[in-house]
Amino acid sequence: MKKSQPTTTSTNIVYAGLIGATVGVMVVVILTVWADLNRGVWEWLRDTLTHHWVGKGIIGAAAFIISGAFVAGGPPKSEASMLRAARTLYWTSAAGGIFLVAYFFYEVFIRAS
Amino acid sequence: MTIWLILHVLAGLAGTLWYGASWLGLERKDPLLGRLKKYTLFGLLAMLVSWITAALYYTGYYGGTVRRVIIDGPYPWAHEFFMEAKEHVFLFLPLLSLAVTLMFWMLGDRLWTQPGLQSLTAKLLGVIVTIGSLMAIMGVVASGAVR
Repeated sequence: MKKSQPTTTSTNIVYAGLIGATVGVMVVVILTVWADLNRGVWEWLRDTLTHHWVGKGIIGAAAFIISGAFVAGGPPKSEASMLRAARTLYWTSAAGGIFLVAYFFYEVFIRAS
Repeated sequence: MTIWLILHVLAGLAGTLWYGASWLGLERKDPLLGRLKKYTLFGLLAMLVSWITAALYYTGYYGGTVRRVIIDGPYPWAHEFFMEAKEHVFLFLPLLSLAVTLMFWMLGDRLWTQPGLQSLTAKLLGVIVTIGSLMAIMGVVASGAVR
């Protein structure tokens, strides 16, 4: 099988995608809790971006694109950097998902009772 | 409006299955790159369709009609916990899907020749499949509370 040759461009693009996704996930988590605790933020999302949930998705996607573009244009990334970025995305998305489920569980079943 | 819900569910399940197939294919002794690239691309497209149809259903029907029925019914937690958690964790999926799909398309067989990368890629695929499966289960609970 022909072995792929490492290229700086492909490593940078993948690195950008991984960083973009990590930042996007973090932004979604922060926005979710912030809008839940602050009615003004929730209303701003609804009034500016048609719906609070649509707004969170748009801002999360924008964070992905902006942060990814920012790092893609930087210096060539090493294989080790790419691995670190993949590991960071893994832990951020797993922890973010668990946190949000735990947050809503707390809000509905513990704080409300 | 129901068509959006049906498409959302089918696309989400399809996306989860495509990434599940990618996960299994990556763990093979001799992964087939061409096939895995197709699986991840189909998975990404399915997740994007699931996202768009979710927005159409949620904003056009669920928010104004179904949500109130659930909250006023005997199981308000079906929306307050299951739906709220689901709709926000769901937003991770398009981002994760794009990042992982880029890995397969840009890195090729480096995914299993570079030390550590195969296992990390498998873990990311595992997160996508886990979240996708949870989305399906939580959606069933929310839908069940409408009855």
